[in-house]
Amino acid sequence: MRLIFCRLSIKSAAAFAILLLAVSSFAQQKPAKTAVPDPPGLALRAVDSVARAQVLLDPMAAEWEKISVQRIALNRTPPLYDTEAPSDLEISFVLVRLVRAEGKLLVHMTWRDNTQDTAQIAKLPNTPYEGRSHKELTEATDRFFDSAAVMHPLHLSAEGAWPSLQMGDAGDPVSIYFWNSARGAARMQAAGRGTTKRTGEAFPAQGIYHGGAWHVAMELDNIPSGMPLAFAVWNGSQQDRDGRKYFSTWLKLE
Amino acid sequence: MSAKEKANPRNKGSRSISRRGFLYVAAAGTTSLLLPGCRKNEKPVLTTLAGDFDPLRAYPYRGWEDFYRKIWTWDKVVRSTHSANCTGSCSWKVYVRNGVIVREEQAADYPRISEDLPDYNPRGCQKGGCFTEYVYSPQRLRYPLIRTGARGEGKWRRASWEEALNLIAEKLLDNIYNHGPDTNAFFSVIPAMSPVSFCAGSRLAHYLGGVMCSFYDWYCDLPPGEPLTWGVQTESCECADWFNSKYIVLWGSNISQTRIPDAHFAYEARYNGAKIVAISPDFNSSCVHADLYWRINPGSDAALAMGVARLLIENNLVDTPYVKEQTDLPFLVLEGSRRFLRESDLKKGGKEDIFYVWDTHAGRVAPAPGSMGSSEKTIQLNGVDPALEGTFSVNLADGHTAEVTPVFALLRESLATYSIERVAQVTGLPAPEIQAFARELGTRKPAMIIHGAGTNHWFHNDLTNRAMILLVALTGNVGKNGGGFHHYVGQERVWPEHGFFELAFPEGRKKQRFQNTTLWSYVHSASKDPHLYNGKPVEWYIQESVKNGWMPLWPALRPGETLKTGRKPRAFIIWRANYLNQAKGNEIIETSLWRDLDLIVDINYRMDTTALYSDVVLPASSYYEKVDINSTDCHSYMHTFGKAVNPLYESKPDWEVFHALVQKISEVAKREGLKPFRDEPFQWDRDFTTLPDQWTSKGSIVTDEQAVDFILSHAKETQGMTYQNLQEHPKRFVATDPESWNSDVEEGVAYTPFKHQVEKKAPWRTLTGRQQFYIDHPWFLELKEELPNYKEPVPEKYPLYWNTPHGRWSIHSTWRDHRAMLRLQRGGPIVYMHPDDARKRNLSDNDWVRIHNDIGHCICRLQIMPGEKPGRVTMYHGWEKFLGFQQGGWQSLTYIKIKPTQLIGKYGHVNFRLNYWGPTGNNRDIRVEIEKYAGPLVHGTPVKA
Amino acid sequence: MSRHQYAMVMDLNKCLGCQTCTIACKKLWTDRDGTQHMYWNNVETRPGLGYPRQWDRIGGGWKDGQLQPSRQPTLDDYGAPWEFDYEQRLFEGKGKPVMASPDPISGPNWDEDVGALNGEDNFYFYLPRICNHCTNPACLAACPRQAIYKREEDGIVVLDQERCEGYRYCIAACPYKKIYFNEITGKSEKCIFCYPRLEKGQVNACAAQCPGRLRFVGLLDDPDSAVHKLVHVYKVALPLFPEKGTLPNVFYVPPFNPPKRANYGKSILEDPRLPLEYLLYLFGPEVKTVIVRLEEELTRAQNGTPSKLLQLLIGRDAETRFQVRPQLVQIQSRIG
Repeated sequence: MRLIFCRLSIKSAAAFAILLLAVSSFAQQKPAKTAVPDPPGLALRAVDSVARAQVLLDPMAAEWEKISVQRIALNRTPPLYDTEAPSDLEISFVLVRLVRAEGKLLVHMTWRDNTQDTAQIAKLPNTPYEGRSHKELTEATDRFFDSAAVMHPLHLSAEGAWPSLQMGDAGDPVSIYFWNSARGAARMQAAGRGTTKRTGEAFPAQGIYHGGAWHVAMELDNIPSGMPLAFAVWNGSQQDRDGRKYFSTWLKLE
Repeated sequence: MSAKEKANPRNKGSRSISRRGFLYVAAAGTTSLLLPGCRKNEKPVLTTLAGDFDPLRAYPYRGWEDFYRKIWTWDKVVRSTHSANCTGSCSWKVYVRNGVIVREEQAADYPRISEDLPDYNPRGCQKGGCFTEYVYSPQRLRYPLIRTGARGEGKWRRASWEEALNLIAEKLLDNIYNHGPDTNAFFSVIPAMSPVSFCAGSRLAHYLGGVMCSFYDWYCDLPPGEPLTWGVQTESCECADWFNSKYIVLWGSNISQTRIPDAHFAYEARYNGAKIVAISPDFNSSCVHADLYWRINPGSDAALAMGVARLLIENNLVDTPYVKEQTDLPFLVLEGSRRFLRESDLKKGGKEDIFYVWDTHAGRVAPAPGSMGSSEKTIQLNGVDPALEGTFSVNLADGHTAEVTPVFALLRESLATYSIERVAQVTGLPAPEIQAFARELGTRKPAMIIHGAGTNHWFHNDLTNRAMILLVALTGNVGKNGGGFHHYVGQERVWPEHGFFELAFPEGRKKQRFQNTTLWSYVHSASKDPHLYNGKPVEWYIQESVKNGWMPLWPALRPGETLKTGRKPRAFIIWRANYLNQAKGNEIIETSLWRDLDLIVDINYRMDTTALYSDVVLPASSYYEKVDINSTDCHSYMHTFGKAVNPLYESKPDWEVFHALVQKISEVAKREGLKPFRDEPFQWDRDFTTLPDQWTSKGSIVTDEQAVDFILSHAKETQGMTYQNLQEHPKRFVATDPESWNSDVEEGVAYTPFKHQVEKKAPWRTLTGRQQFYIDHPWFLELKEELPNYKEPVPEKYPLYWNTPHGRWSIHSTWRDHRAMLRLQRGGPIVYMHPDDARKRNLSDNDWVRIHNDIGHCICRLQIMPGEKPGRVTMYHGWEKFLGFQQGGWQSLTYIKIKPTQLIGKYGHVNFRLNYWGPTGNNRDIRVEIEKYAGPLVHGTPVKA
Repeated sequence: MSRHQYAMVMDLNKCLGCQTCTIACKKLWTDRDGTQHMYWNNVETRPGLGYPRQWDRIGGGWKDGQLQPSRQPTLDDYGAPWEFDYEQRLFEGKGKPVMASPDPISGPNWDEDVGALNGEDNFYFYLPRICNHCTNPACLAACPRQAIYKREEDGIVVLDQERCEGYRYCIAACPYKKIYFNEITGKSEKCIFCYPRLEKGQVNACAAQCPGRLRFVGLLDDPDSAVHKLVHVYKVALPLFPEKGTLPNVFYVPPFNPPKRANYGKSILEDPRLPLEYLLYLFGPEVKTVIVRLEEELTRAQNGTPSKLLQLLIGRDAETRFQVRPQLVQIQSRIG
């Protein structure tokens, strides 16, 4: 019994540590590499466009250049476990463009990342492995891939409060659009840290690494105004995965 | 407090963590309000953050577990086994799902012999455990192929069965009529591992008058000391009998690697009170489990045995009554001629095969009962007490008086040169331990020597065998459970021997051309042993042997022909074997014998080296797509192959391949209107138009299952067994045919040979009717080998012994190219070298090295092996020539060396018999040098789906 | 704590190093896409590199109640699974020898039979390894998704292939490095102690197929089981690296090597070939008592008095070695 308690404590300790340090990185990390952080509750603007969503899915499409860019400060999660060394804030902001087109919300994210951490990973073959001589191979066991995500609450709660940034709350789930540079895009839902589940759906998204930066375009559902969004970026070379990442605060979509 | 409790983190851990956890909760409580964009008044709740379950206890999402459950499912299980000459003979269950073989697992259902003996389950190794991968591998032969490039180039065109068989049939018939039936040679190994497949081709050879080549002697797996001493091919106890021993000597046998399914009996015997002695130049995988390990100098084993024999005699550790009754050691030898005293010496017209002992009771010679010429069919001495020592006078028929001495006394005198100091020096072993070993061997009973290829592959293997057998005979261990000398190299013996021979050579073995392959390969290739034996080249001995009719040589020499000018073989049919890869000096063969052959056919399920260097390749079914049976010396059970799936691709089981070829031959014979061929030596008019009728025994043996049942029903060992009832369960042999075997199969007792001799006093199958340590054949006398003794390895000019033992990762060449096995090695052939030898040559681990001598060279990678003996390098044998070598292969460095004494015949029990007696293809005496290879390298190309 | 705990004892004095267990496991569980570099069961020569390379020095496990840091093993640490270009040589007439790709520089059994010290002093033994199905699993504690759990009915530690997101904290946390990453599925996988077999009353593939017959399987809490007797009654089976704090449920009967040259007859503690320090490193301080005990039993048996302990270790048949109890561990009401 004591053992069980011990284990749970580790979990909660780690979780709380994230919360605390997240706060401190905002409130106290004055000379951080971030420019002046955006104040809490900053609004996001989505521009209507007549461009085809299909066109906008190309992150290098000229259409995107017409859209005003919003600079969103990113925070680095602190080490989640005692076993992990802290890592530098290498990516201090993400440039976001939002467009509404063809009844969709298109999100364009650009962030500087000196290392392109991605790979071509073989797809699981359609033929059964039995009797098949060639099996797809794991090419590396220690690499993590650059990724990005947009999160929003599944419901706007009546009282107007937003769910926890840590993947929502038990009573207040969140929806996540997760794009992985190697594995593609997947939708997820969560109701608290550690509860993230894939919905099994994909969504259109494309990413291009160019000029030392990632440019990613994602096609989201038509998320209504008033809904907050949060952005996250994972840097593979920093072994980012899970809650080890860069994240923004909630930003209300206007 | 135990170490475990001290290390237990429960107490310390939980205290410190819970304290830390508490601090965070408190801190969070005061700061949560400041969090931007977060739910107001949010109080972090443990359950929300950590989930509401504890995975150390209940877990809510267990439905996924079916993911792995589904992997362990199947639609069908079929019993089968493997035909690779491993001596394992392991019964497996083959699992099929959706029509695809998915995996195999040992059947593990051999019936137990007795409560006291450990059982045989599970029986099977890592290689058997991944055979399925071969079934679907890129190497798998799927269609008949006809060569379009040079031999060995790997250029083929896909052919129809019709075309391929027609080509072969025409060629075989053409050879018979135009060059003689003895120009068609057939090579297939080890009937025991799949007798029906063997017989499919041997029956064809039989009815075509073709030459059936040997394998057991050629591969040097035959211990020639056994036919010489015991008059048998190889007689070993089944491995369960190891458990009955109290002293196990692993001598040249690395059981952990080469007897994987059986090694447990030895290590379990140790727990049951046995001591294990391991004798090997390298600290190998069996030595690690020994009570005494001896790092012996390579090739000095006979010196050790002779030294120990001397200690046994000096310390009165000889079982004298046993020696007097069971061995020729009391037999009298004439001074001067050094021949046995025979009846012909004492009486005019007396027999050559009646011998004498000196009866100390009567004070005169007495004929020893039970010799070949004796009318008595027992070796019981009946009151005679033979002298082991002394010199006596006898009056000969020619009126002279002669001095006679028992073999024992001659042996003792010959042992004078084996002082403990000399033996310690030659073997490199500590003298006190040699003395302790002799004492234990003489007192811990029963004691056995488990013998293997490590020692058997030396040129003087016969002497070494005889010296070792001497030790267990002097101590009275042979013919007793838990004791003896047991050689396990190759699955040479078919338990239901009578049924097998009936099927293999239906008109009788006397009507079959047999050939010792060592001799055949030497004579028909450009092989040349540069050594002289008693001043004469081996060719002199070969010529004599052939001339005397001691050894056959096919094609037969015609009047006026010499070894050089005689006809050459023209067609070579190979199935269940990898002749070219495994041939000593295969590069010499490739450029001589191979060039003289104008048709090479390989029948195989995979493209091995021989198939690659053939003209026509026929796709055989794999071990999981056929019907057959399998047995071994290592256990006393019969079990089956089975069709887990129908033959894949265009493959056919061997039986059907040859049946189709037989039909094609008769079709061609009819088409060309061939008259019966008169085969003079056999007075046989061979009518090939009716070949299918002959081959199927008038339609009575058409299917492979009928062939299995034919063997089973024609042997005493397998009465009551059928293919169908064996598919259900392996069955223990019910009896032994006294024609073939030397003990009974007894209920509840592990089989060990020679109980007929030791318990029932039946004569041994030798000239003297005894375990015969004295061979008075003129060549033996001339070469001073009438008694066991130690001879140095054959001198070679290079510094490092080239040791190519059997290992765990392959059965000869099978599994050498198997991906799953390669991944657990170093991905290709490697040569092991002691760190000191490597340092001297400036070599590092994983370096590419060139191994060379006057014969040839190969280029492979080096592994530094601290347990290797300095002055020796090791490459586990069997590597396919096409895989992993930059150049050459492991046989590029070897050549055929024939020991003259192994060419003798017509000496009592020592006569040519296929795989029983004939020169062995030894190779341990070869030496090489190694240097770093810095030339251009070929690398692998990535493989994609 | 789980209600019952399956455990395994491996008698290292019976191990042949034949890797039949490795292949039994591989061909049953990890012959799929993305799993080729995984050997849930491996056998390594000790002393030696181990699989993955230097796993015993990389990190992980518990110290003073804290998980310890560790780097992620690389593919080279496991050994890149080689492919071979058979077709070009055998069927396409390209003439190039069949070679491994990539070029071999490491592998799961790279230093087979090497051991330590040269020549006459050379020593080594085989160490078969599976997941230890620990009572206090570091992997389980490290997983933020709680995708690893200990089955309450039998104590088997499994990794949920639906919940896993491939974060690999578990791989770092396991001091034995017995969790592997499948990059094709993006999920980690580990030894499942053959629960599908145990549930049907069949013993684990590695144990069932072991021709050296060195494995004993049963419930540690079943007083009739061989594993219980060997661990708790005879006390001759020890966990690997007990100081890592995970409380393994796989135990080893520690190994002997024969005496050094000219030492025949000397005791295991008198200048042994296999140094005691190395056994202490692997098995902790209790190993000294155990090895002396084993030697005494062996000497007694070799002098003619049967040893009950050694008679058990002989394990004459499967019934003696394995006590699989599917009825006993059946979970009454399964959650979820």
